Amino acid sequence: MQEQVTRVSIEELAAPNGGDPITVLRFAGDITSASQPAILGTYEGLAETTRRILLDFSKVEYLNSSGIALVIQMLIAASKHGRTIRSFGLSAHFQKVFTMVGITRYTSIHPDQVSACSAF
Amino acid sequence: MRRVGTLLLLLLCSFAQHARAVSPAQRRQALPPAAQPSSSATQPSAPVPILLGQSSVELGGLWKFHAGDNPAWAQPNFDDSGWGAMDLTPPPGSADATLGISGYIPGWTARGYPHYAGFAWYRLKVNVQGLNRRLALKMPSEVDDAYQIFVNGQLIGSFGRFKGHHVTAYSTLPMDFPLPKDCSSGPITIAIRMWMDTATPFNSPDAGGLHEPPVLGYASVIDALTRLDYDATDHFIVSGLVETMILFMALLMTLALFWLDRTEKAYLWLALVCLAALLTNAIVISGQFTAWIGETAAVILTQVLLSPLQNGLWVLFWGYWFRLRRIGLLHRIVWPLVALMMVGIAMLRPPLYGPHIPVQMVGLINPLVLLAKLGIGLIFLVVVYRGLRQQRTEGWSAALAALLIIIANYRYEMRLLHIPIAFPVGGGFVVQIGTTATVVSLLIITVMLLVRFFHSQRLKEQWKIEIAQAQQVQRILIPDELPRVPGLTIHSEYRPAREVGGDFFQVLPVQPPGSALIMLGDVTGKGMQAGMLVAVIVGAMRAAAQHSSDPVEILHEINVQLCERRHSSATCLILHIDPQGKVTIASAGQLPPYLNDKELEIPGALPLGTIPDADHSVTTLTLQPGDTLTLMSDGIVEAQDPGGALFGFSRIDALLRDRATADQIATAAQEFGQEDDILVLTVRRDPDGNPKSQTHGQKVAA
Repeated sequence: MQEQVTRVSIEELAAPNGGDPITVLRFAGDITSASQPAILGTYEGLAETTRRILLDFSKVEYLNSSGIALVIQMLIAASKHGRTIRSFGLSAHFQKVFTMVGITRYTSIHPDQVSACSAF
Repeated sequence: MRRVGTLLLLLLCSFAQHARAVSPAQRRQALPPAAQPSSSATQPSAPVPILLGQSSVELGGLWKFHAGDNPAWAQPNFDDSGWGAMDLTPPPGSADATLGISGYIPGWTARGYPHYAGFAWYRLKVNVQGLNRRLALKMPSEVDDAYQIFVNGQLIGSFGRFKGHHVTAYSTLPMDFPLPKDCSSGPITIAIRMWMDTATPFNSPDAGGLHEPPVLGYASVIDALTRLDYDATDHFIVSGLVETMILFMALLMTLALFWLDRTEKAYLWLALVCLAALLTNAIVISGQFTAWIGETAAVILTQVLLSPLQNGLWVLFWGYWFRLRRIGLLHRIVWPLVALMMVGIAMLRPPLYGPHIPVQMVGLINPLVLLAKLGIGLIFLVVVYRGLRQQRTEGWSAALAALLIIIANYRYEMRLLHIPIAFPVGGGFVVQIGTTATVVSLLIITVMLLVRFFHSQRLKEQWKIEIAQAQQVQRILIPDELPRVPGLTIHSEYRPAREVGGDFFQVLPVQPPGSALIMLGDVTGKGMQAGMLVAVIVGAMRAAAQHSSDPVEILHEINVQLCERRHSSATCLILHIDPQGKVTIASAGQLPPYLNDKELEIPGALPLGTIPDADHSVTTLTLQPGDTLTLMSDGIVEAQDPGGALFGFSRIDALLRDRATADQIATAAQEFGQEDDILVLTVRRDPDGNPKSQTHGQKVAA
């Protein structure tokens, strides 16, 4: 089947508990091997001062192993920069897959945006 | 349809020749009623002045008109002085000189009788003089919907079937009716009993009764006029015939393409669109020449069933054309809307509308039908928009074709908004905007289909070569025959995807006898590139196994090699089993194995090739005699049905609870919807300590 493009929108939120603002990356469509510009390109375009990143997967329709590899690369890069990453909007299936591939070492996974924001 | 109406003076050229051979007295007798020599010429050599009269008369002007029904209204002595008037004079300038067609006259709903349906009568008294042959009456080929004609109280003919108050109407045809033989010069009362279905105003905004004056004249002339009416019909539907031929050719072509490439479902859906359009055209065109199909049956087939069906089929065609991932969702949205449209339209058409559905319900049903139709239109736009965003190639041609289809599908709404949908182009021919849109869009889509077909054929040739090469690589990397390991029964099921994926496994007997290293994994990417990466991993594993049987050490060495090669990533699981059944499992992001029907809890770990100093999770357990470990690649859990649902973990759990074999698991995932390589490996510790068999299955996806 035809792969859909990955769409990313960036949003800035004030942290509910004060502190650094939260940059939200909202992904939509499919995350596959074709998503390199959308995932890594977007990450590299973030301001140097970004400290907190929130990943929204709630509009993602399909995610395969190549896509997960890209997410891991982004998470490792963010971790090296000392950035904090939280994620939400993953189905139970993909929460399990994320856990298996060790992503949870780099990001905590939350059921919704509110709980993810308050975890910063 | 605009009617053929006419003054027929043309036969008179031949008459002029004939006139020279006969005496003035004979001429007087032979001439039509109003044609008389204008003078009494006495010199034979002098030119004979001739006044040519009419051989037929268009009965335009004011007719008496009354809504309702009463058999007495057919009688010549009935006093209709209290009736209203209906002017049947065609608007000035509306006649078509090429075809001799009178202009179109709006029906009674647009002329003082809005929303009226049912029976209504037209009456006209004429005084015919100088009659010397039999008369006939030509009725317009556009009337709403059926009629009976009475001349001097006598029924001379009808169009449609009248059984008491039940009327069956047909798509109207040009008809002529001879007047009774005893009809002589003098007053004649013509009474027309019209009947219109309550649903007809939905087809045209100015429906009701006669749309052109009847024509009275000599039977031979009226016969010629009727033939001209059929000629006009031919001219009018010629674009429909062209459309039908193009639809037929498109149907044949799409079926041929689908026969050649069954994987491209868009061909089949376009064939269905063409078939629905062809059936519609066949019914409409046959109705212009024959009365085979009753108007009600034709309306049910074309408007209630085929038209909504066509709307839905177009959306699905584009969904398949753009290979939208959520095609199942599209089906679930489109079909209920199509069904809603069908039900709504059926309620506003015969035989339901009027007798069973109250007329005042129209205000409720019509907006619902329109909403359903616009809903389908909206989905059409969304599908095309998403498709165009995904596939930038063919963008302009696809956008143009889609726009034309919208025009074709919504021409009915355009007509109700009084937007002209047909244009005369000279020579008596009329171009229908919907037909033109359909023909042009089909031509564009035909070109697009052929381009895609030849492109995919070329790709297939390339794939064949690549698949052959990659399969050669895989044959080396996926063992054809599993080595025997004393005390273990190992079975593998490998189902490569059509495009060669990156699954791999190795079974390596190690010392002491009864020990084995088992590796299973999946590299990211497909094709030759993935095959070469698998070769690197298998090479690294075998090299590392020369000096170590520790799964963690082996994983670490492979990881270092992959990290040196950039953009090389793989999930992997390595097991070491010793003769006592002790199992050490090291994982790098691979799905956990199952012990009998229980998923093992293995800590998460990064895939290979991510970072050089990655930690790999280690788990140990002991296989009791009779225990089975099941290892799987992610091609099973990520198998996807046409609706986009994942095979998921729950289905694997259920299969293992039922003690499914490797073959059964692989088959279940494959039948669910294979997206990637599927690999299942089962390792069973034999109860008696002796291996029963080492089997290996491999089926290539179609």
